[in-house]
Parts: sequence; C-alpha cells; structure tokens
Amino acid sequence: MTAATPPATVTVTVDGTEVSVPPGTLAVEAARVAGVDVPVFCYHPKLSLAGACRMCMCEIGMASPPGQPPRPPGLMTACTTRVSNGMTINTMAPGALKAREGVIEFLLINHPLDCPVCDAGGECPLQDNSHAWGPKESRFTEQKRLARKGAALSPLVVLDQERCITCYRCTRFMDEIPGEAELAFFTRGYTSQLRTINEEPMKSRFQGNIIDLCPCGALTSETYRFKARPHDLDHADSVCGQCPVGCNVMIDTRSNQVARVRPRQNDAVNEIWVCDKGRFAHHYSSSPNRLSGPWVRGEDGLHPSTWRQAYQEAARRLGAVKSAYGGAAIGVIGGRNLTNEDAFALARFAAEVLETPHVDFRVGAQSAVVNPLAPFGLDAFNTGLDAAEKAGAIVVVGADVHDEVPVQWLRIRKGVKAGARLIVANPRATEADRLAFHRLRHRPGTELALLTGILAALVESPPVDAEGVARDLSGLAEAIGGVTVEKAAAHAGVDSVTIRAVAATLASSKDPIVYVGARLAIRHDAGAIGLAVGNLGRALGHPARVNFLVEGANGRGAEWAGLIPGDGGLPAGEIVARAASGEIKALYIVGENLLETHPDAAQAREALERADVVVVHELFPTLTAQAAHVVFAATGVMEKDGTLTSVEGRLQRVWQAVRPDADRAPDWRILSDLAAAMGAGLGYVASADVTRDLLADLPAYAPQQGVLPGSAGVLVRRVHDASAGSVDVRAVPAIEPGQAGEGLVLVTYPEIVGNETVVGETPELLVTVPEAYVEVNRDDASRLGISDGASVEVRGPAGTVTRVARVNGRVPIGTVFAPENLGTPRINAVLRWSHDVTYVTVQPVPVAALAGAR
Amino acid sequence: MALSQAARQRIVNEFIPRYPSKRAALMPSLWLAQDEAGWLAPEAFEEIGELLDLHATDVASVASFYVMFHRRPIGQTLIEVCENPSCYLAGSDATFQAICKRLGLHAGHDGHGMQTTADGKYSVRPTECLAACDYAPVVQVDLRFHGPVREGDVDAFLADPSRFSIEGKPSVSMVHGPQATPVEGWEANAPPPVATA
Ligand code: SF4
Ligand code: SF4
Ligand code: FES
Ligand code: FES
Repeated sequence: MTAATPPATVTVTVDGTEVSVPPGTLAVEAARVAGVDVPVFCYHPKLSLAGACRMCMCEIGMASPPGQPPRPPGLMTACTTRVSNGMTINTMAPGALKAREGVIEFLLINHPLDCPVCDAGGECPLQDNSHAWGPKESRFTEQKRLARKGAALSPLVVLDQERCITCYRCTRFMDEIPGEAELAFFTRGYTSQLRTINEEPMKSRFQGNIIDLCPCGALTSETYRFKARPHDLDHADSVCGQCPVGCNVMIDTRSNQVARVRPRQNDAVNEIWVCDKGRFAHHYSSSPNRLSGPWVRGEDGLHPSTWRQAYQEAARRLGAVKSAYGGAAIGVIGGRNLTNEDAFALARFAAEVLETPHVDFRVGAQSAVVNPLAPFGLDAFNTGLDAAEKAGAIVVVGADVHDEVPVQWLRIRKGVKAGARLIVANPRATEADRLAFHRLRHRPGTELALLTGILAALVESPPVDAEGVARDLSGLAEAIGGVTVEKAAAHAGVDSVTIRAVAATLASSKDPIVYVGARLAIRHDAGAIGLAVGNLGRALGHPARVNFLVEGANGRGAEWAGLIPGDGGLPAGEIVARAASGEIKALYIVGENLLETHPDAAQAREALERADVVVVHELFPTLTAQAAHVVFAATGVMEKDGTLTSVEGRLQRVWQAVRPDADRAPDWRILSDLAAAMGAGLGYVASADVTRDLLADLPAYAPQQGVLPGSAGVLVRRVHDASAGSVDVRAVPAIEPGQAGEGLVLVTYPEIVGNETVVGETPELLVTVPEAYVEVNRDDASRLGISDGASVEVRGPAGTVTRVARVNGRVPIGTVFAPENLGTPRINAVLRWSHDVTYVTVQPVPVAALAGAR
Repeated sequence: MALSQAARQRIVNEFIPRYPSKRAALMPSLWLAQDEAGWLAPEAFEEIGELLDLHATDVASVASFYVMFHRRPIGQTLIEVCENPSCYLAGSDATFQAICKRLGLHAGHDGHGMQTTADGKYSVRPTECLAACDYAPVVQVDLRFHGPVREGDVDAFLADPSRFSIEGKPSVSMVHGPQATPVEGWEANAPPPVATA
C-alpha cells in the first residue's frame, strides 16, 4: 500500500462562494481568490506571519470528521489560519464584524488625530479600515499616549511613534528581506518604542521600503514629507534608471516635479522592492544645476549658444576630422545609462554618419569581446532574475551583488533562505559573505585561475546524475590543459581544499546559477573567463545557467543596440588610450563622465585635451563636459518615453513623467538633428519612430515582432546559433602569470551610493554617503603604522590621493580596497589603465602636511 | 570588552549547542553577561550579537522586553516592592514609601522607574506580582523573596533583610490585614450551575 498523497487542492467556502486552493493556503489568500478582501494590518504576503493586529478576524468553521456532530465555527485570524477541506470562512459574520470594530476602536485609542497633517492621509490602510470597519465613535475620554513625533530613524526615514500600531511589518522586513535587523521594538506593551540600538541612524540601503509597508503614517519619507497629498499627484509607470536590475517604479509628480519614486510590483524583477538609491535619488531631475541649452567652446572657454550654432560647430569640427583622417579617427563612448532609443540612434549615428567602428558603452573596457559566452551560443545573461529563488546553488564571482545589483541581492537572499548554497568569490569580503556557504578570497585578477581550479576539481570527481552515472568530463580535462587544482589554487591564493569543496557542492546541487561580475566581462582576459564560465555550466549539466552582469542602467540595452566595437573596433578603454596618444582625433561622449569613470584619470584628461574635438551630451556640467568643445544639454530617463533593457534582457517601457525644459533634448533628437547638420539623416522626429526602427532592425528584439511590451516588460529570449551551442567544451587558455609589483594590490569598484552627481542633488541621501576611504587589513595597517580613521596617502602608478583609512579584516593581507565613486579626486587618479593589477603604497599623511592643510 | 573570556566560552561551548538555533541561546547569554557586570552595557549587546549572529539592535530589543535585564547600571542591592492587588491590599504602598524615605529617595513613584541611592548602594522600584502573594506585602531583594514587610518593619528590614526571608518559612494565611468577613449574600452572585444534558 502506498502512502496517501495529499490532495492537490482543497475546497473552501468563502461567504457562500466555493473556491479550490492549494493545501496550505492561508484563509486570507483563499478569500482573495474568492474575490473577498479581508482587512489586514500586520499581514503581508511578502513577510512572515505575525498575527499581531487581530484585524483579520473571520468566523471560520472546520468540517468535522465523518460521523461526528458539526463543530461550531469560531473567530480566527484569517492571516494565520491555513485552509482545510470543507472549511467555511465567513468574513461578514456578526461576530467578525464586532471583533474588527473592537480592534479598530482599540487601535484608535492611542492613535493621534493627525490625519490632516499626516503624509499617509488619503492612502492609509488605517484610515481606510477605520472608515470601513470601525465604530462611529470612540468611548475613550482619557489622555492619549504621548510619544516621539517626527523622530529621524535616519536621514531618510522619519518615525511618528504615536501613530505606530505595532504591526511589526517594518521590523520583519528589515530582519527578513535585507537581513539587517537594525530596527526593533524596545520595551513592551503600551510603552513599545521602535528604535535602533543607541539611536544610531539606520544604515540599510533598503530602508525606504518600510515606508511603503507601514500601514499608517508612522513611517514617512524625509524627502517627501509634507510635499503633496496623493490626489495632487500625477503618476507615470517607469523603470529605475540607476542600475541594470531595472526595478519597476512609479514616478509620482506634482506640478511637473518628481515628488517621490515608489516601487511598482513586478514579481519577475523587483517583487515590490527598490533600493534607496532608486527611491530617493530623483531630485537631480529638477535641479537648478542641470545643464540648459548647448555650449560651444570659443577662444576663452565654453559659452552658451543656440542649438543651431552648436549643431553647426559640432558638424564642422567632426566633419573636419572625418575628412582629414577618416571616420576611424573618431571614438564614440557612452550609452550605458541611455534609453534603447538613444542608444540605437547613437549606434546608427556612429556607423552611418561618423562611419567609425570605434564605439563602446563599456567604459574602461580592455577587451573587444562583448559577450564572453558567445562561443557557447549563449547570451551574456541566461537565467531570469527570479530563477535565483529556486536555485540549489548560487555562485558569485568577482561581483559585489549588494552594491552592483542591489535588489537582485534581495532575491539571492531569498534563494539562500529557501536552501540555495551561496558560493562567493571576491578579493574582498562583501555583504554576500554573511550568507555564504563557501567563501573564496582570491588574489585580485586571478579569477581565471580560480574558475579553472573549480573545473579541474570537477574533472577529478565529476557530478553524478540521478541514475548514478558520472558525467564524462574527459573533453573538459583536455580543455583545461593539465591545470591541476593545486596549481590553480596556488595561483589564486586560495586553498585547494576549499576549491574541491566548492566543486563538490556545485556537483551535488540542483539547478545551480553562476553570476560573474561585469568587470570580468570587459577585462583583457574576458574571453578566457567566458570560456571557463561556459565550460563550468556545461560540466554541471546546466549550460544555460551562467550569467555575466553588466554596468549601467541600460548596459544590456546598449549592448543589443550596437554600442559595441564594430569590425576592427576598439574597446572603450583603448579608445581613450589612443586618443591620449593622438591616434584618435575626436571623441563623441554621451552621458559619461569619463574623467571620473575611466580607470586612468590622467589618461582621460590627456585624451580630452589632445583631441581636436570633443562633443558631450550631459545632464550636468560634469568635469568631462567642461573639457568639451561642444556640449548638448540632454534629458534624463524620467523625462522621456522609451524603453530600457535590464541585465537579464527584459525589455521594459518608461513613460515620460516630467516634461523637460525646452532647452534640453533627448539624445536621439540631438543625434538626429546633428546628423542632418552633417548632411546625413537619421530621420527621427518622435521617439516612437526610433522604437519602431529598433524593434524592426535589432536581431535581439526580433521575437517581439515589432510589438512593445506593456508595463510589466517582457524577457527577450534570443534565438541562438544552435551549431555553436553543440560544441561541448572550449579550450580554456592557460593561466597567465600575474603582473608582479611592489606594495599592496588595489581593488576598486563603485559603492551602491557614492557622491555622484545624481546623488548629490538629494542632500538627505548624500549625508549617508561615507567619507572617501581606503580599506586596509589590520596586519598591514599595524605594519605601516596606520590607525583606523587616520588620513592616509594612497600612491599608485599614476598619482596620489588622500583617503581615510578603514582598518578591518574585509580585505586580506596585501590587498586594499577603495570605492570608485567616493572622494575628490576619484581613486582613478592613481590608476593606469594599461595595468591589469594596480600596486599602491599606503602611508599616513605626514604630520607636517596635515598642519599645513589647516 | 563587556564579556569575559570565560563567559564567551560558555556561550559558545555550552549555550549555543544546547538549542536548535543560535538565537535561542540569547536569554542565557544575557543572564550571564548581566551576572558578570551587574548590568548590560551597549557593548554587551554587540558582543553577544556577534557570538549569536544577531544584530545588536535585536539583542538590545529582547533585553528591553524584560524588566529584569538592566540596561543602565544599578545599585549593589536591588529592592523591589510588589504593587499588585494582594500586596497592595496588604499595605505594600506604605512599605514602598517608607523604604524610599529611609533611603532618601523621593517617596512615591512615577511609572516604573528605578531609583538608585546616591552612594550606589541601593536601587528601589515597584514590581508586578511575584507569585508569592501569601507573604504579602512581598519585597524582593536581589531576586529573593522577603515578606511580609509592613510599613513598621522597614527599619528592621533594611538593617537585616534576612530576618524577613521567606525561605524556610511555612506558607502563611492569605489574609494579613484586618480579618476579612465574607460579603453577605455572595453566594447569590455565583453563576448558575451549568446545565447538564
Ligand atoms: S512603524 Fe508602521 S510598519 Fe512599523 S510597526 Fe509601526 S505601524 Fe507597523
Ligand atoms: S536595485 Fe537598481 S534598479 Fe532597483 S531601485 Fe536600486 S538602483 Fe534602481
Ligand atoms: S492581519 Fe491577521 S492578525 Fe494582523
Ligand atoms: S500581588 Fe504581590 S506577590 Fe502577588
């Protein structure tokens, strides 16, 4: 006899309507299926169950076992009761109504009469539920509880303790979703107070979400407080333009100014979350510091000009370079933060008007290889973002997922909580280390060795399939050419035991996913890393579960739009290098502050100074714009209609939220008008024209057949070259010896929020940005006489910058870390683009220099 | 460092293995830390959090839930006077006031605050039912029961609390005040007997 299998569904009756739902469904969700909304406060489908508020009381009856007398139904909380077959859920029973009325009366006893001065007014579940279910009058005549009002939990979130109904949504979110339990209730009962330890400001980069979750006005946004009522706002569905995750957002505007940005639910992308950068950094759109109109360089610097003059000047200068040296003397850089429309127009402009193959959105790129997985017939990114939720193992190599793809980090956490084993390989301890099953702290720049080591370990003990048959990895053994685990481990500076353990974990996990950092896709060895990564997927029997991240909100879109090196084209880093050496005569830079982002500030400066002409499209007068010959004031993502393509290849629409100033134009229009001035024509008069063309012309979007997706976007699945895909493994190049040098190895990448131009326009966010620092290992610090918090000089091959030392154990001995988007000058002032590994010295700022500075 | 090396070891080797989750070892860890220092300093929350993989805020929040965890330094001797009905009816309020007066603390109390004498010898606070109502009015000294301690006993009590310890004393009658007489006709108010089918 076989054990009885549980029924696939159970049938319950909600207010007389029968519905079938999966076993284990909560009564409140079963009611929703039946079209009945049970009022709730503490219940939230994305959080654990609390049963704290008792608002969801329903009269619930259970079927009694056969032959037994019927059991009387009773009051139960619908949010914590799981359905059983034959259950009756009566949401409108007199007892339930009375209970609800009691809960509301009870909650309102201590709730202040703040609605007229409360931001939540008009979109407040407490207000709505009180109207719908509460008593007409309160019997409470005593003094209400008094508590903290307008208290800053951080520079971004404000608490009104009197309004709090202790539903624990905010504390559950912090604990469960980002895993940063920095907010909690102190004391208990009537005196419960929401706070952080020692009243320290909250530090989480996801804290803004608690404002959305709060079912009343207890938590409000510092930047939105007292700015508008919900009915004052206009809404536009949009997509966050700050990183490649592509979180779906709603932009609320008042009088053509952004009042706030809120997440829009898309369970395939961001669920209902956004990070604080996406939420708060929107003030740049209405900043008075924005560029307005075009600027043209004269004898004595940049002057405002008319659009016509600027087009003529740019056309004349670019035309001169082109006729003197040919189109290939022009380099085009930028586009990773533009819409697809702008990127497509730029790609066409470069190819048809400038006639140059030197086009690249990947700032700093050393390699012309754009998609390192192409030899396997794969896209650079192959699993949907939501796949992380159900993976058995997640590998992150060379990426800080918390900082680079913040909301995807939340999804990875969800996967780990559901049982995925997280394997993190990074020269520095990242946030992901906290949940990691294996941590690999390899030497910077040795990712290829590390990956080859894992492949070698898999060859030693190949994964075994369900029938107990080991996979035949003889081809792979050949492909890695005799590299042993020991050799690879020694090269990468990790121990071979860990590498074997990682391989064993991967071999035994179902549905593993591999994420590789965007920087590894642009480095000189990107092709080799791609081969190693592709082979890893194949060795594990999951060829299409390997992914490369990308930089920029529309990096993937820029790639697909063709902002990549053409035939014989140079990668972006090389374009700058050749401009600095005088081979490239003109630079066309769109939305990219090269002086801060090219990993060699001196070289970028040299390039801009040496070029015969530099044309820049920008939102702000950045350092790069100030060095240009012609500057066009462009519009930002919130100011235009168009599409973005996220890291996973999801085509998503943005609708114009703010009407731009007449003196700013979308990039596609600038390009179209400039093309006309140069005697060519892109022929675009409306953004929809560009959209139509890019859907028709770009192979990436062929499956769309010219149709634009709706608000939820669509994951574009490309048709790949099947013959390429049939190749089983590809030879992985031998491991190169690392570049030797003296001193400490410097690792750099951008922090989640830095003092970039767009962040700088939101002072509340800017104050949360740390002072520019360099992270030094404790042992190195004591050897060098550096104390935590001291000023130090970081001297690299190209220059010296001053930073505050953070002495800790996050970097291993011999390695230092400095974020790229903090401090003036940026850390790129010490870098040489041609160096694969940067060696620096770090030393205390001499006392005399400190005194002198005072 | 708020925790001694011995305490850390005990947490790691004894408390953590005892439970299915690290978080469950929080209460004994807090007790241990408080036993050592007399109170729980903010650093103690950080250190316990590190050992148990919890955020310091979470640790402090749990500690704040229980009045027996002290988040500020307290006097050498902690005196707690029960103010719940049995003790109150037996005169605990007068006992409390008298103790405060004797120790130079302002008589009467506002809320549940703890008062500490200037010399740091005593801390005094009212407390909820100690489940020793049969010795009402009950006074707890460093977590040990004493009672009955009436207003007039306070000098003797402070001179030598051990004379009032209930340890070894047989349970006494519930009623210490004037002999209570049954309210006349109280049976009439009793609920009707439950009908049996
Ligand atoms: S602040 Fe808001 S979300 Fe947090 S417990 Fe109070 S009512 Fe709930
Ligand atoms: S994770 Fe990226 S896309 Fe999402 S809100 Fe943050 S910056 Fe924007
Ligand atoms: S919603 Fe069910 S108890 Fe709060
Ligand atoms: S009322 Fe004081 S001990 Fe119970």
